[in-house]
Amino acid sequence: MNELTVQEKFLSGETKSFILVTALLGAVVVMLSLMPEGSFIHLPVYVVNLLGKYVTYAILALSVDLVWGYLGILTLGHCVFFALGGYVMGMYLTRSIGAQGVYGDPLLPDFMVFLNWHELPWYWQGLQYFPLAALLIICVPALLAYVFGRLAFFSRVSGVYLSIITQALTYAMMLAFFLNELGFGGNNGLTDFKTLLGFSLQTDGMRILLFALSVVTLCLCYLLCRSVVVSKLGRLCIAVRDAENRVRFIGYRVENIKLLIFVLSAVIAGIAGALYVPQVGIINPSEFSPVNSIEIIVCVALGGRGRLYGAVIGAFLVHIAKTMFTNLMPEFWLFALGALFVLVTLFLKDGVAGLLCVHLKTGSTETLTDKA
Amino acid sequence: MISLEKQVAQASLKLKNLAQKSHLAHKHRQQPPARLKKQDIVLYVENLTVSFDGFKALNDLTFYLNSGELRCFIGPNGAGKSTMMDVLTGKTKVDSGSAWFVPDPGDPNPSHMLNLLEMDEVSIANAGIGRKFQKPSVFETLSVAQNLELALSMNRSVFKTYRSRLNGEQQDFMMATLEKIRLSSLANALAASLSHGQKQWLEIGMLLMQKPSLIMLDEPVAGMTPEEIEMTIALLHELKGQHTIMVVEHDMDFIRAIANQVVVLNQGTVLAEGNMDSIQSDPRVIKAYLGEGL
Ligand SMILES: Nc1ncnc2c1ncn2[C@@H]1O[C@H](COP(=O)(O)OP(=O)(O)OP(=O)(O)O)[C@@H](O)[C@H]1O
Ligand SMILES: [Mg+2]
Repeated sequence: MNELTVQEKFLSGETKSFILVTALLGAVVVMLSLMPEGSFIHLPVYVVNLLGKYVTYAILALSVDLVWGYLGILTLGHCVFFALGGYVMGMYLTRSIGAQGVYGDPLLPDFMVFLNWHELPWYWQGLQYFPLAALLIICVPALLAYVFGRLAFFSRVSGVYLSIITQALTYAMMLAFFLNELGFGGNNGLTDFKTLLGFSLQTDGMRILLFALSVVTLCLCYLLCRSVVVSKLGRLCIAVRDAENRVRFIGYRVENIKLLIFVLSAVIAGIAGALYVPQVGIINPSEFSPVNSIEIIVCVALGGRGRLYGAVIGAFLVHIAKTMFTNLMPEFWLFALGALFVLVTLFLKDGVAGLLCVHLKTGSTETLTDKA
Repeated sequence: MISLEKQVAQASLKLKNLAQKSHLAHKHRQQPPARLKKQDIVLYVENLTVSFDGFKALNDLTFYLNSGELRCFIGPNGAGKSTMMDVLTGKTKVDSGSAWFVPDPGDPNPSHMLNLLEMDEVSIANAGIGRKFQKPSVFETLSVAQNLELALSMNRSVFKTYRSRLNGEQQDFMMATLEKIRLSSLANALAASLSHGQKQWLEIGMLLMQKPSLIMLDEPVAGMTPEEIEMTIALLHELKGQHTIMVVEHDMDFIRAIANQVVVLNQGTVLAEGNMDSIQSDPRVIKAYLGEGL
């Protein structure tokens, strides 16, 4: 032996296949949706829209996998970043409505007119400009993650306590956003969006475009996460997950590692949220609900934590199941979710991705022995 | 309006006081030990006392360590050996005492000495003190080579870590270390798959990658087979002189093979000091070990 393989290749076979398959599936969906209506292979646009929603959840799951799967921080409140990204996007879309609102006020969103407000709060200023909105979509989640991380990681809160605090954070945000006085539309949130960058949101073309954009973003985020995971920083994350104190005794500031990954992950979650909102057409405080964050954890667990493509697969499986349940028997969804989590932790520790991995591995060794 | 101004003035006064105080505290902080004349001392440990709920795990512990020396610490279970290392590596806070470390033995300037009791574990590690724990702790889900890579001494900043790649020199160093710890053939194996003794070695290898000037080994041969112990002895002889080494062990044959200077700890304090023979015939030592069969 003289080969030291310390670092995996960035574009491993696995990564290439993921990008290829995702791009291909995305292209097929777009093509099928462009087929003439009535043709039997035509994919209705509402399905494309639904798939687009799943893709944004997949991006969110990716971000959770980074902090939970690789860094070992069980975050039970990651939707807080998703929702914040979503709210910024929602604010931009609301400002874009302009005078087309019910009350026809050129400046104030409908809910403010309804509340008898006469001035636009300062934090709504400038949000009619997309570049600013785009910047805030990244900065707002990053800032919250940074402040939270500084407080939590530097006072060495970890394990269950940290999980509880993340949950409390998202819950507190939900309660705050319910308040009308906060100026984010309270209970109803922000909705009735008309245009994005001047193009109507209600057209089929826009829906398909948003789906395609989500798929591209998923691929880019995947590559970004992959570049972290294969780097020495990625190995350091795994080391922190396995033996945090040991990492300190070889001279690394564990808090900084956690902070950086946490902020990065929050940014990815925020971007996912921003893509989610124009596709579902509404953002309200329920997006902060702790259950949503737990759902994403189940996604990652089912898909296989510590494997990026696992998170994506898990997100699709769980949310397809959720859609089916909410159509057939909505009141049982939470039970099913809980049961799924228990089953996965008991019988499928490495998730679906683990299963896949084992199958692929045995497959390849078989071919090797065949050749011999 | 006036009251507001008053408040502001008061607040700024308070801040000033605080700043002054912390400045003074900095000035008045403990001076490095006066006995600096002796050139080759690298670790000054004086009057360390640590208590856990009234129980004194360390009691007025004092010793000095010379550069390049290999010093063994023995003592019955609970004597405070691991606690001593905990204190010196920033894991445990003391009640009283002092511990000063000379990072560069060639540099006689006393103001470059480091007060270990004021530093946290990360800065102590970066100042050049490496430690192997009593319970072997390696990163189980990483490979042997990856474990070594993480320990490699280099810039520890997060961004640098993200971009870092091993260069040729570092790779050679890693190869050499793998050779030393006899794990060359297992470089790409997961650390979890190693035997207990091999994990101990890997941990020693990680220490070497850090290039520390002071190495602390807490029970390095616990759970090793006789052959593995032999190899560890050879390894320690190799390291002697290049690093200053502190070893805590219960295995007397091992101690005899590596050390000439042995310190016996008992109830958190130094009971006896000297070469192995004089210690083994010391009646106080025999009494402390009574029933444990020295
Ligand atoms: N964190 C702690 N809290 C309370 N007591 C502690 C703590 N750490 C150590 N002790 C106690 O301090 C004493 C010294 O412990 P220490 O681990 O230093 O002994 P040791 O000399 O390393 O023994 P051994 O040979 O068994 O490893 C023991 O009685 C132990 O129970
Ligand atoms: Mg001990």
